Parts: sequence; structure tokens; C-alpha cells
Amino acid sequence: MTDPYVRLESLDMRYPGHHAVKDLNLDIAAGEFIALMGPSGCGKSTTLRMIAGLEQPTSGRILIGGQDMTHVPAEQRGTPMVWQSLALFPFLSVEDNVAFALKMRGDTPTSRRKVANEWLEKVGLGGMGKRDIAQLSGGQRQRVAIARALVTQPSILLLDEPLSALDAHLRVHLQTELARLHRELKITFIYVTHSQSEAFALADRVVVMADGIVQQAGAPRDVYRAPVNGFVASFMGMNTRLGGKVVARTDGMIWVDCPEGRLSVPDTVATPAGGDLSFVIGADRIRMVAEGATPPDGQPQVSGHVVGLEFVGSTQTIFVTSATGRDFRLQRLDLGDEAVLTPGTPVTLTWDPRHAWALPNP
Amino acid sequence: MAGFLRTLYLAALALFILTPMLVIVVFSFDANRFPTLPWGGFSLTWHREALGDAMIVSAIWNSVIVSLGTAIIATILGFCAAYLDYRYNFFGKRTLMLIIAVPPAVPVAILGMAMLAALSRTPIFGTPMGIIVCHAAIAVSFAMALIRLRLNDLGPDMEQAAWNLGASSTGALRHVVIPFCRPSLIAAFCLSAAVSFDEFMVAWFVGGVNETLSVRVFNMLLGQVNPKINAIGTLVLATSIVLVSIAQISARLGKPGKEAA
Repeated sequence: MTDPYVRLESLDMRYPGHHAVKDLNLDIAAGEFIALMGPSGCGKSTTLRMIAGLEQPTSGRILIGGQDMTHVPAEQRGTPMVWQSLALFPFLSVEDNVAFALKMRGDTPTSRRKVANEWLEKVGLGGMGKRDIAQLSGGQRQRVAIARALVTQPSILLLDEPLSALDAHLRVHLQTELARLHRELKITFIYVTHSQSEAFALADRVVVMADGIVQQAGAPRDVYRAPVNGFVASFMGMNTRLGGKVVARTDGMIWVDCPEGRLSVPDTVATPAGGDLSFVIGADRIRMVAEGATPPDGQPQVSGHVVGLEFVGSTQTIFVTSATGRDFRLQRLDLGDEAVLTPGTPVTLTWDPRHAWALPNP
Repeated sequence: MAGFLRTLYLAALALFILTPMLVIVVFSFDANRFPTLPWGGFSLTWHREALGDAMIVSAIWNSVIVSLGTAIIATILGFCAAYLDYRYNFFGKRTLMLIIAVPPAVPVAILGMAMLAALSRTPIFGTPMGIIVCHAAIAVSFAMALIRLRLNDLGPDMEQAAWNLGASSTGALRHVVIPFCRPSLIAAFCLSAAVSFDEFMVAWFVGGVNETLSVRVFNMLLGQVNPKINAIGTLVLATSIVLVSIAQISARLGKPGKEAA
């Protein structure tokens, strides 16, 4: 990475009785789309608010563009934010909402009206400048909030769960819109969300936080395929987690004695023989073995029965409980040619052991 | 049946409340000198006489000045107090808010005497300014309550959003908080004016020779029953109804649900 655009150095935030952010270090490159994700209360919003200057960190430093911003007041930071509540000004017209930052900067009424309307055009609200906020739909208000934040042409945009108040259809629509804006503007987006799908769809890099600590940061694919610990693995949600005692190592694989039998996993951790090891398998990597068939050589075989089904458009998530009482998840394309599954159907599962991932930390 | 009973009950209630006021209004237009039935026919005599009486006209002017002054001061102080309560936490805040809220709960006779005792040592005693100060002390608690309710709807994000977009603390106050509170500021202004316009006891204690309208009515009643009093009553009633109506409508305009969530 070249010089980071935003650098968070040993950032710490303590409230009375609550340690919200603990010694957080994070470098964000110029033009990067980064998503801070984690369950509520993990410190992701607090981190964003500290970058915006709305919270003063207990200790640590915030550098933006090489400048120490830790003690610069919010109004001088140039870090506009899109709020979950939108926080639009209901007493101002759409146009005046967008032009607010320009007015604060001291632009003339003519020039700020012109710029505001250009931005409204860019977010697909051309000609709506004279309307009241109350006359807009949820999605339109969201666009006003985005235009309002971008109107000063900042080099960074902060987004705090901007889409979580919208319905699913609009959310996907606006996701695409945000991705487009990021591509066109080439500025840094810092996006806070609890939604894995939003983070994965949008971000170049995701930062998974829990309990005020960064658990893992990396490209969405790496975090999804190679979670560093049990928390990240379960937060990704789509993984099945197995575990047992390490018995041997051969050919770059670790053999683990699990209740489901002796299973292998790529040798990427240093756990010694006799030690406990957990590993995960992506839901899209587990397959069902057709009735009467046997899995390919060297692939495990786990029998169980279906406990539930979920349809997500073209894909299907199947929940299986193994004979050993463990929960498996698998995902497959719904091609319509598979046998109909109902809860209780006995099934046999298999996967390619090379697709399993040993957790470096439990 | 239940609906009918309810309508009947509400009608009886309205009649009970309105009758005394209606009597004044009706007899202010009566040609008879004394309020007796049957009605002596429609006449504007008493209104004309009331408005021709120099003392009454000067009392009207006093009342207008006092209620406007009260409204301005009470609205400003009420906003400051409400914003202080909304935004900051400090030692003694509860006590301060209680002190602001308490004057309307004190019997007016006691309040009047206390204010007389306090003001008699100051140069504003016996001037309209003295009445304004005392009325503002009472009205500020109503003003604060109205504005504080509105601030509840502001939410924590909007002011911060203003800072985030480059507004200083005072800029956010001027461009966001005050415009957001505008309906409640109008309501507080009108209600404070109405409170002052109607108030008698304190104005009587501290006003000295500067009679407000209600003090003038009282002094006229001491002398004789004069039908001009009915005319003044009608005027006061109309003013109060207008002010309180504006206050009500403004306060309702500020209710959430009509705006961005």
C-alpha cells in the first residue's frame, strides 16, 4: 500500500462503563471502498464518528491526508457523512438541503443553487430541487442525503448504515448506485454496516469488528474463505464449522479426528498433533451425494437429515443435521431438476477437503 | 346510543364553559344599559364608547406593549432554557428547570406581592417594563415547555449533521435548531402574549399608574357596572382566542409525521 489516506493509530474510546473501541489501528488507502462491519455494539459506528470528529477518542490519533485531525473540530474536517436516520433538514427544500454545506462555506446563492442542482441531477433527482423533503419517497430521501454529503466534492465520504432503513428492493438498487458513484468519483468511501451482503457487494476491503477490536481485515473473498477465528467464521454465516483433535500431517493436509470420522484440511496452521483444531467449509462447497452413489475417492461422507430449507432467489440454502448432531449448511443453485427435499429427508454430504479452512484461532 | 350520549355530554360541557363568555359577548352588543332579558336590540354603542374612552385606549396600548414585550422576552428565554435542558448536562440542572417551571403554580396573589416587594426597590417599578419582567417570569415556563417538546423531535443527528457539513455551533443553532423549532417558537410567542394580555393580579400589583386592560376593567368595576366592560371583555376574548388558536396551530404544525423520518 502506498501512503494511506486515512490512518487510525491506536485509537481508543472509553465511555463510562463501556470500552467501545480498543487500540484500533487501520490504514485506508485513497480511493478505497472500505466496509466496517460487525454486530451492533462492536465499535464500528463509534470508529466512524471519531473519523468525522463527532466523538473525541480517549487516546490515539486520526490522520487524514497526512494531517493530524484528532483535535480538529467536526465542521473543519471535510468528512461528510450519510446518516442512518438521514438527518435531512425537514424545514428546507430538497435543493437547500443539498446546498447546506455550500452555504456554510459562504458560496453565493446563485452558485450554490447551480451546484446543488447539478448534484441532484447526478443522483437522479433532477428537477426536484423545489420540493419539500416530506414529499419524497424513502429512496429519494436517501439520494438527497448522498447528494448533500457529496456537494462540496470531499475526498472522503462516510456512510453509517445508509441503506438499513430501506426495503430490500431499494437497498439493492441504491447499492448499485453507490458503487457507481464510487467508481466515478474515485474518492475514499468508509461504509459502516452490519450486513455482510452489503459489505461484500460494495467494498474493496472489509474490516470485521467485534467487541471494539478488529478481528480481520481483507478482501471480502479472503475474509469469507479464510476467516482467522471462530467469530469471523460464524459472522460470515454461510460456513459449517467442524472440529476435533489433530492426529497426523501428510502431503500438506492435517488429519483431524472428528465425531464425523477422520477428516482432512489443508495444512495452514501450526496446531501440533493432539491439539484441538476447528475448521470451516463454505456452504457453497458442500454437496449432496445422489442416492445410491458414493462420493469421489478421498472425499468425506457425512450422513444426516434435512431440517430446513430457504430459498434466496436462484439459490437454495439447505440446513442439515448430521447423525453426529452437528449443523451443516449448504447452498446450491436451484436448477429445478433436483429431487424435492422436505424436512426429514435423509441425505449424504461431501466436500473436497482442499476447500476446508483451518481456523488459526478458535 | 353511546355516541349520542357522548355528543350530549360534550355539548353540555362546551355550554358550561362557554356560557359566561357568551353572555358577555351577547350583552356587549345589547342596546340596553343593563344586561337584562329581553334583549334590547343590536347596537355598537358600548364598543364605540369603550374605544372613545381615553383611559381604556391607553390601557389597551399598555396591554399591547406589555404582552408583546412579554412574548419576546419569554420566547427568547424559553428557547434558551429549553435548549440548555436539551443539550447540556450540568450540576443543578434539575433545580434550575424546576425554578423555571414553578411560577404558574404559585398563587398569583402571593406572586404579585412577592414581585411588588422585589420590584419596589428597582427603577422599573410602576413602569410597563416592570410588568413585562414579571409577566415574562410567568410565561417563560409555558414557552419553555412548548419549545422543549419540539426539541425532543429534533433527534441527536440533525445538529451533528449540520456540524458535519461545516456549520459551527452557532451556525447549526441559527440554520438548523432555530428553524426546526420555528413552529414552537411562534406558539410560545402567542401563548406568552395571551398569558400576559389576560393577566390581572401581577399587573395590578406592580403596574402602578400604568393600567393594563384587565386592571382597567377591575378599576371600572369598583366604580359602577358599566356596559363598556362587556365591550372590553369581547375584545379581550377575541384577542385571546386568536392568540391561543395561532399557538395551537403552530404547535401542531411542528408535530412529527409530516416530515422526514
